Amino acid sequence: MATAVSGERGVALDLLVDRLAERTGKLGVQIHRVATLDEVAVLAAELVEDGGPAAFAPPAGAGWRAIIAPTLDAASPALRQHLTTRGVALAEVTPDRPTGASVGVAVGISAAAHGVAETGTMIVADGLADRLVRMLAPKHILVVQMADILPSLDEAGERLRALTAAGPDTPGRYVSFITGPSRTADIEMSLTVGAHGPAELHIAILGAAQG
Amino acid sequence: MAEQETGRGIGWGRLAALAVAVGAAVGGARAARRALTPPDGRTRVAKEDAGGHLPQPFAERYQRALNDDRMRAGLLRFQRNWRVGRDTAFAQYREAEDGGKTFEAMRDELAATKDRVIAAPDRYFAQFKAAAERNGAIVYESHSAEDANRYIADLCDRKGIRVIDKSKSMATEEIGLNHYLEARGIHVAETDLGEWLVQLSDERPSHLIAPAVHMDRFITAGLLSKATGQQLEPDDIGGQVRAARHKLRDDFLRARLGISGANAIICETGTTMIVTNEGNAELVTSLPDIHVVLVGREKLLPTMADAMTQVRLLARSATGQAISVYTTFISGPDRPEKEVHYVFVDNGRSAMAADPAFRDALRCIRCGACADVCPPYQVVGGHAFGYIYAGAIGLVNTPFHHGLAAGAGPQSLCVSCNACATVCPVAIDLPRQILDVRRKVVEEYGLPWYKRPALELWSNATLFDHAARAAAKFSRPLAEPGGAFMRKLPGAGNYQRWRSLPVPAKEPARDRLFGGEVHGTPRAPRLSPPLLQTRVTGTRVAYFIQCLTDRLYPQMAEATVRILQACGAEVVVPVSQHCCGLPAFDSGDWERAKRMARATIESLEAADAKWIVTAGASCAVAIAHEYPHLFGDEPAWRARAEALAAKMLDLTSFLVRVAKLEDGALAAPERNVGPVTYHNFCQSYNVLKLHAEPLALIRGVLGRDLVDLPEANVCCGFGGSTSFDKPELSEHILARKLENVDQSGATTLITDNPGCIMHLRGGMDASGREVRVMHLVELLDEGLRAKFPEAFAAPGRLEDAAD
Repeated sequence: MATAVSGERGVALDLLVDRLAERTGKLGVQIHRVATLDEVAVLAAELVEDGGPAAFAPPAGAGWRAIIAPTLDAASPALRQHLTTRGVALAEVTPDRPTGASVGVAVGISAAAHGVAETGTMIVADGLADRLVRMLAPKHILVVQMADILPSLDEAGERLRALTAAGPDTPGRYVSFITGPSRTADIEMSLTVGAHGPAELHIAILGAAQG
Repeated sequence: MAEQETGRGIGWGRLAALAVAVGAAVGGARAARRALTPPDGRTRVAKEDAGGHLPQPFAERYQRALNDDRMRAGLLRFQRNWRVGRDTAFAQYREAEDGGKTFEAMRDELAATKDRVIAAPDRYFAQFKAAAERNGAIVYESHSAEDANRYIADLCDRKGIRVIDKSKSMATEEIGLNHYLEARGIHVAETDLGEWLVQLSDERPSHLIAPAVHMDRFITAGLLSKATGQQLEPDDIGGQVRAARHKLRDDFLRARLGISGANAIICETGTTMIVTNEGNAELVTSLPDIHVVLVGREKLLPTMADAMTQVRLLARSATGQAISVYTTFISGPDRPEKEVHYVFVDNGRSAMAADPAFRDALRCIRCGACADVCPPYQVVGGHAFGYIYAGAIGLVNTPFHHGLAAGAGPQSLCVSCNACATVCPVAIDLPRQILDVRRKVVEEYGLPWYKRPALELWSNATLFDHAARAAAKFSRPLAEPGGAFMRKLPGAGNYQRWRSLPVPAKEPARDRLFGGEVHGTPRAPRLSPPLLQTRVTGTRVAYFIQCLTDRLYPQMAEATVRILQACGAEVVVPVSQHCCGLPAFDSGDWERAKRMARATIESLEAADAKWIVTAGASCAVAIAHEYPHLFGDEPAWRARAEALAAKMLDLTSFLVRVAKLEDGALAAPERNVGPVTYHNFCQSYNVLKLHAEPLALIRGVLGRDLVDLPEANVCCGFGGSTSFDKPELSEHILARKLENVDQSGATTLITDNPGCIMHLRGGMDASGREVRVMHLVELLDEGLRAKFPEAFAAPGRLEDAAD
């Protein structure tokens, strides 16, 4: 059986996954090698179960919830079903309240278009609502296909060029490279996570489950 | 040949000149502050131009910084952490299994790319503008800082916007945007934590990427407690950050216009690249329906591939990360209701591009590395070491953005250690540009009053010789018991308290070496046959003594000649040699620097030697690296300077690279003298690139052990004229060095520059440390004597003249 490869250098994908895991490990990112979206749902269920910081706490009587970024929700409706099956309560993004959903939401889930092994980066290219889901919950899960992991920033630059050249009203208008949880060291160089975005970042690599 | 007078016939006029020089030196500290009054007085003119909120006068900023020990301690930690993080990040990238390029390769690549843009800004700007407009963005070229501010204020007025949010942008600081908008009733919410902190304390960023690096956690806790209405504990930094997050969240939701700068703007796709760790730019550029990018043309990059090169350099240089947490690429509006406006500011950039000496500075990617390695920055922070832009780049670009007056004070703090040039990710020749700014300041405002007579005396070989001989004679009664240092003079205060000043030698080196000949063979008998096997046997070498060696440390001169002779070189010592001109060049006094340089070139050319060698490394740097620049607009002299530069070597380079001394050549049975360590004179390390060479001499040729010196290549604080102009600054940098020597446990400290030696010996003595400070050549000379005792056994052979 042929080994899956990525990029011109033909580096084996499992090697790229290892590299990505090694380099994100230093940033406090947790890598999850998963086979199915249901495993993502299991991960989300655990993270919701653990709750979040008091400042994000749900109103009395309500429980912690998760939220799915609209683009991922539309592309992979099965995820919603798995989450529901696993007993995860979901918050919804609504056009009039794109950010109001942050109270009581422990976990956001969104999709990455690519991973970059060189730097442990996830490349996201989607819309405003997706971005807000990614910023506003204290924990976030980025889901990426194993086959979409690129070896280096060279390939990432090429992909970026193609995305941005795709014309108006395409996701390429606003692309972010995300490498680890939001952080600041502005006070005495003391590294503090969760500055504006999530303090906890999980990457679920679909298709990378071992065994 | 210049007339060689002895000290016998000194006239009253000459004595008076000497008195002026001595008096000036003692009064240096006060004079330095006074001398800067004219430039600072003029900042008031600039003040009104940019919205009434520019920094305090330099003298006040400098004094306040000197009083802030907490800031200094914080900046020392900051610089040390940065150094480790930055070096590790570049090394890891290079050495990884999918390893990439070296720092130098990427740096040269990005510098070349930036140069292409700087050379043809209109073409690249047009390409960007077309692409950005195709993406649906609006591109506005402002005529001035005021015009850029007005464009943004008008936009707010037109849309009825009263609250805007901002992600960190130095360009907005540069044009005073916040104060312009606040004065018109528009509330500006800074969303970067550091930037918000300086906004809360009504200050300016003191660092390009770490705006609040001058504050400690007690200050930030106070500011944030007041702003959030919560009682925040200094030790709970996480709690401070969380409180800030929740408070700022309101601003994000209220703001209807977001302002950012750009780390790069990419021509081929019409894209803005913005880098943050917090993620605040994601919110500032996403939530409001209007996004304004304030940017200068120097941020243009041709392609996305170029942007990736910048990404690889930027975060490693800035924070030691492989890449920042959020790197965002925005190519026009991403939804129908969104507007993206580009406001381009020039504000002196075109003038910079048109000036060949300063054009390179437009390559800057604002990483802050030049501040992170800068010893004076560690002492005073970015409010004094800079204006709006801090660090070495701030010293260079302030005259263009805010006028020469605004840059006059900060430039005076540079010690020319060249550390910034070694870490700049776009290879800007910052040290030279700072000296060019200094020259402009001197041309515009003149030299400080005490420097004119001092440099006039120094630049006149005959007068200087008389003065030095007189000083040697009359300083004897002022010497401490033991004779090495002067007694502390009443009233000398900060000039002398923390360092002991050397007593001049009775007999200068030139008297011991010339023996009455024009290009005389030194008086000490020639070593014949040569003691060592080298590649320079029979080679004619001219020896350049160096002023301090000549007048203070003649035994170093004799040791140098002995070593050169032991190598088999035919040593000649041009009698007409005087000072290379470095003190004048370093002071921005190009007129006198050129006068001394011309005389030095003539003197050394006449020696007709294959190599010119000095044990004064700073002079080797001046002659080999600065002379060609000094004569940039005089082709005939430039050609002569370049020819001389090709022959000019410091002793270490000569022994290792030319003579190729063999390992063990001077190894003698180990004597128990305690641990030895090596201080890299900053210019030897940073300009001459002497990294392994001194160790090759000590470990290899001498076969001696060395203990590690922490921060071995950080400046000792001498900094040429800086130690006389800014003694307080020099004192603090020296203290850092001395603490590092304590850490090393060494009892002998070796280096290769007489200025450092004077400074370090003075500091060791004044602080009561028992550490022997030696020139490398003295250590080599010890080895020579131990290895070949028979050569020194006969009476009258190869002995030092009595001191």
